[in-house]
Amino acid sequence: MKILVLGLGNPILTDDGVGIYIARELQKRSLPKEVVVEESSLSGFYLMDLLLGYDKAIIIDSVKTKGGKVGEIYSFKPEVFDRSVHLTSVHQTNLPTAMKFGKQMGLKVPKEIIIFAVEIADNQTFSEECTPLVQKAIPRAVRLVEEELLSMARG
Amino acid sequence: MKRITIDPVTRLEGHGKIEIFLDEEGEVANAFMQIPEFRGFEKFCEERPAEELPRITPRICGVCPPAHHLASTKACDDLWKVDPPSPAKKLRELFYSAYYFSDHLLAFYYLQGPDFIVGPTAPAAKRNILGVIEKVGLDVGKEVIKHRAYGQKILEMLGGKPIHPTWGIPGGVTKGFTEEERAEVEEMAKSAVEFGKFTLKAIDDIVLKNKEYVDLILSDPYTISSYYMGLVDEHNKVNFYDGDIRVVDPEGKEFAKFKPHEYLNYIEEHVEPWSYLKFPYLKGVGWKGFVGGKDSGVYRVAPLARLNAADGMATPVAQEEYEKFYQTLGGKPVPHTLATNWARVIEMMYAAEHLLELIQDEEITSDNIRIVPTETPTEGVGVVEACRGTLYHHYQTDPDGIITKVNLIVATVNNSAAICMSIKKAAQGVIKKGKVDDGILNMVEMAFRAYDPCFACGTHTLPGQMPLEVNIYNHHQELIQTFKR
Repeated sequence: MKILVLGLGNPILTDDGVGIYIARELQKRSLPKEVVVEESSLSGFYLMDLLLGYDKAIIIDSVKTKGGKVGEIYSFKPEVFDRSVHLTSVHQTNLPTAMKFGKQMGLKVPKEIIIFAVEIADNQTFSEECTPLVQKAIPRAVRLVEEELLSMARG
Repeated sequence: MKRITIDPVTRLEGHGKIEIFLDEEGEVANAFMQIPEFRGFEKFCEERPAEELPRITPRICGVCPPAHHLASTKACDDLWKVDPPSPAKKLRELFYSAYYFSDHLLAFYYLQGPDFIVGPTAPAAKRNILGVIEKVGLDVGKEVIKHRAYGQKILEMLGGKPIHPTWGIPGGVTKGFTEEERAEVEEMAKSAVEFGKFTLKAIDDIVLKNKEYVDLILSDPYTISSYYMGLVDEHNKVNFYDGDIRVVDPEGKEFAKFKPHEYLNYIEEHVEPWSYLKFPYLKGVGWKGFVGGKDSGVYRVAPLARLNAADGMATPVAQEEYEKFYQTLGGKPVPHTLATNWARVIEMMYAAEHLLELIQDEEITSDNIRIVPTETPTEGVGVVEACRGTLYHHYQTDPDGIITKVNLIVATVNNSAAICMSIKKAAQGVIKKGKVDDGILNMVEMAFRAYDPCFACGTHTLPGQMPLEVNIYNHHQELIQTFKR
């Protein structure tokens, strides 16, 4: 079995890079041998390329929800984004559409994907550092992903 | 930790917005586009060594990193006044052709394709790549995937990670091709040319043979009059990587032709109180508001504008299609926004043909790929055509090459006034007596989508990219309807 951990974000837009920073921390830990850790700033169909060939995947990203508490960590399945099928731009293809497309094309897409997302404060200022509450969420997120990986690797 | 179900489409913050204002009769009085503001890029760049910018600026955009990478590398060439050796220029152009081929392919099949192949008023759930594949068949889908992967593969062979190239340096590039790699790319390029021809035929069969679609392209709601800008080579043919910037007027006559470092003599930026986005216009004509015609300085960039601003394509199959384009759509220049989609495929054809020409060039495996700069840097401008339009990078440094000032005009921003005008015109054409539904709204968005706008595309925060919200206001300026996309 092959498991991918994919940290997503833009490391020059303040909190946007949090997924990448979490992935970099995970890279320093001792993880089950099935696990590969990558980082990327891609989305949609570009993302699909990276996921091909894995049985399971964990994606780590940032999120901004209305009334959300900064630093809070959520986990969910990609299907929650299924309603944003409408494209306004080529970059906006959502993950479920990309996955469905991959399956239709007979490509090997992961059977199970879990997304971890950190509620963030600022992704519109150019900076290479997270805001304090988001920074504090990083070690917690690392632990949560590690736990998930152990249960994934077991079964 | 909470396991929650969120509905990000309705709950996420930070949208792009289209705002449509109706008059008393429920007809469209005005329409605008708004986007979130990004802060502090200039400050972020200051005090960094200039040669770092070709690695930093690609992060601005999640889709056009190769365009920023090359514009930035060319600005660095100019900063150190170093002219790269011929094989390095050819490699850069080859790299760029691979990027164009792959990006245009994606935009056509995945983004604009659904409107024409599936149909402009088809249910939203069908109007995506899955609907396209249902219509054209799985085998074509596989070809689409294969050829997109070829483009990515070539970028990776030269630039390392395709999305974050670390390849261009002042005076040249860091890596060329071995003969083995060259042979591999040649096979991919041959296949790309065939796939380009296939796509042109698909346009012919699906769009041009369908009178309804041709009428839609030619129709008034999708037509605005403007100036057109694009890079051209010494024969005034479309060029993506290098050349002079040429501007033609709404009648197709040359208005200006200038060198990259002269851009500030020709372009000024208008500011509106309601928008963070600036609106560039032609200095020699002046800002007259969001209006078209010869007296208004509004210009357009991107595929349609590039074709209009040039005298032709530099490769045979693309040139043949270029001629057919103008014969079919009523002569030059073509003012019909939806024709952008066809123009994009003509450029994709050129990119494939040019890729093949370059990989068969005997200099392409040369190891003479860099000249080491010796001048003291002061100021440099680099311009390329990004897929979405002319991209300007302008740097000033101290004598140690440390950045003191940065000015960028990113591709889509050139189109910002024209996009607002196109949205308004389309909305006026399809919204009658205040009636708006999903199908009607898609007809408005088609005008927007033709530009393949990439505002705020540097963020990655879920659901991946900036959602779009469309607000409809009555004549008291009260919000009466909101669509979340």
